[in-house]
Amino acid sequence: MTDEERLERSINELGRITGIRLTVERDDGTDLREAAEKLRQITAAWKEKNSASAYLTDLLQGKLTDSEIYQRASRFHIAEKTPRVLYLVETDGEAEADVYAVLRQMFLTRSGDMAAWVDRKKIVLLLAKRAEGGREEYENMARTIVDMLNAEAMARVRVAFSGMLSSLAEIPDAYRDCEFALSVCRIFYSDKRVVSYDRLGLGRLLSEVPVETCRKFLSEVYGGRIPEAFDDETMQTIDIFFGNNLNISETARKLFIHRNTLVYRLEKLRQLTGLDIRTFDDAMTFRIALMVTGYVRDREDQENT
Amino acid sequence: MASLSLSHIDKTYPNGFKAVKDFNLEIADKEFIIFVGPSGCGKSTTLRMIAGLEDITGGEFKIDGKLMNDVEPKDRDIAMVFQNYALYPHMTVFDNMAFGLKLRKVPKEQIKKQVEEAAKILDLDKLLDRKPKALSGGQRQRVAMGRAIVRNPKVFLMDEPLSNLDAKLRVQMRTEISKLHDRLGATIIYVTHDQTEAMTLGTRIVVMKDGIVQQIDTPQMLYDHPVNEFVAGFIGSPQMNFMDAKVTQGGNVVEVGGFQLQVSKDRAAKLKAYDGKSIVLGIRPEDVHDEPDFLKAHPEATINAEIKVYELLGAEVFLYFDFAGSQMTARVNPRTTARTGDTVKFALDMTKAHFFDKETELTISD
Repeated sequence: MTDEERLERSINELGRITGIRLTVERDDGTDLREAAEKLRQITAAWKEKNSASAYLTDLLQGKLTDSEIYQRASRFHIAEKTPRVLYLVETDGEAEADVYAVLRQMFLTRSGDMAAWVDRKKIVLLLAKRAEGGREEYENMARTIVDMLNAEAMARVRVAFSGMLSSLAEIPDAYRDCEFALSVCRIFYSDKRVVSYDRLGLGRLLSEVPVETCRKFLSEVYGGRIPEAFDDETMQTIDIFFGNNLNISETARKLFIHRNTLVYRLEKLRQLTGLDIRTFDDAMTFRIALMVTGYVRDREDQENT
Repeated sequence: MASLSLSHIDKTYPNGFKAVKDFNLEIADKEFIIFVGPSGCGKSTTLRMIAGLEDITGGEFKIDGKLMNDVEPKDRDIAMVFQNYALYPHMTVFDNMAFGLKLRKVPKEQIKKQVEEAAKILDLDKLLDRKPKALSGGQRQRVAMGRAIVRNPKVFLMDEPLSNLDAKLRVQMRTEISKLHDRLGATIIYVTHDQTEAMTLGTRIVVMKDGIVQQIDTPQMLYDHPVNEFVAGFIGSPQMNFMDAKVTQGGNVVEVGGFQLQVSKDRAAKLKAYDGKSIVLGIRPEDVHDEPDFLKAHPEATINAEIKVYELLGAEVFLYFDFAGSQMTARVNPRTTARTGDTVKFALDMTKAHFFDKETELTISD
């Protein structure tokens, strides 16, 4: 291909995707090859900025007005009213190409399905309605996403999912909800890999409380001597005691210890914290205090980084 | 293949939840190990720590003597099969099995060789050109297994791979997995909550509860010699019958629901220390007899009860009745004449009875 043909081709491509038609006036000394390359770069940048993926990123970040949402959607032939569920996939490390490749190949199977990187750790999947079914179906899909990324890409991931979204305009709010759900999950339910925005429990409430108020609460509960951390044995005892509805005999049996040993451990905890978790009120206060402690530590870590 | 060593493994999540506590296990090359226990017992978390999908909080995990705690999942040479699997819908069986290798930039020729080998093992070699929608449920499951096999890993990790299948297919796939283990000669760790799956597949079984290992043993030893009431109740279907009993006559007799049952001599020695105390008596349904010959031979261990439910399963009959405040099951011969509403005399095979400390729930032994 001659340099002239290469330039002509670049001009045509730019015209095709932007509607802008260029004419080239040139001197004999013009470097046609360089001009063609510049036009190719402009075309690529235009494509990237105006791609379906870029549209989705702008939509998620709430950068589009209502009219832009629908105008740009029609340009990419994205159906406005297709019911979709949003899945926000967060990786522990950087979201590698493998993760995105598995998600695209495995889950983008219907017209109306979309995917986009949000940042280095997050990918959004918008999946068109599969079958009749509600939350349980979306949760199963989220679990499948986790399992498949574990197995195929060997990636550690966590997934938040929305409810059914009936229009494109609902997507930005659903995305914010899922981001919030992931942050609550990280702090309060770190053992979970799948989380739904409408099942956040006490974590939702606590994460909305200002950190200073939390610190005051902890100071009130522990009387100014907030324990750094409880040792493994104490935490295990507390876990199993709560898990067995504050039943001393049952807890002692599960821990394979004598009930007097358990009573001694609980007494030691009372001396340390001032809370007798054998009573319901103190048990409830202690449980909330444990969650609040985790929240405050997470916020402090974030401030420090 | 590989040997694995898990030494004092702990898992504590940042929110303080302790999922696994002091897990110790040595797995030999080519073993088929089952982790079994109720939901939330820590079996999947342990598997995920082995995979590298969860950080290990404490303890050491080694493969072939090499410390793996901080090794990335991709570098552990393992492959996983999970409960929730999906196939790439637009790809053929061949491409489904090859995709993971392509991601790892394995050369084309090698991919072809490995996929064809795996397909042969799984009897998928004639289906390599098909798309998932043209496959049966069992074939799809085999493709999902094939994706793990093509990697030729040191260890296979399977997390409830059959639990989304219907009952018939589950039984069929159970046999397939067993055959697969024989053919591959692979080290497999398999997680299930289904004790039947555990008993039929495993060379050894790890029973877990509340993040703590209860017992590690062969299926037969777990069934015959459970270390505590939980293992005794969890392993076996229908489950073991439990009833409160009182030890009398220096351990030679246990009193249950107004009946005196003679304890066999070897077991009486174990019960001596419990004379006058309450214990839990456990007896498996197949050790509760209604045959006239057995009743005649064991007059020292008989009870009477009214049958609440008669259940014919073809080759056997389950008789359900209440006794000593517990619901009991007897697994008897289908020729039994007992029917719902009848008062029936049963004899317990006390040589097979299990005794548990009421406080600790541990099996009473010498």
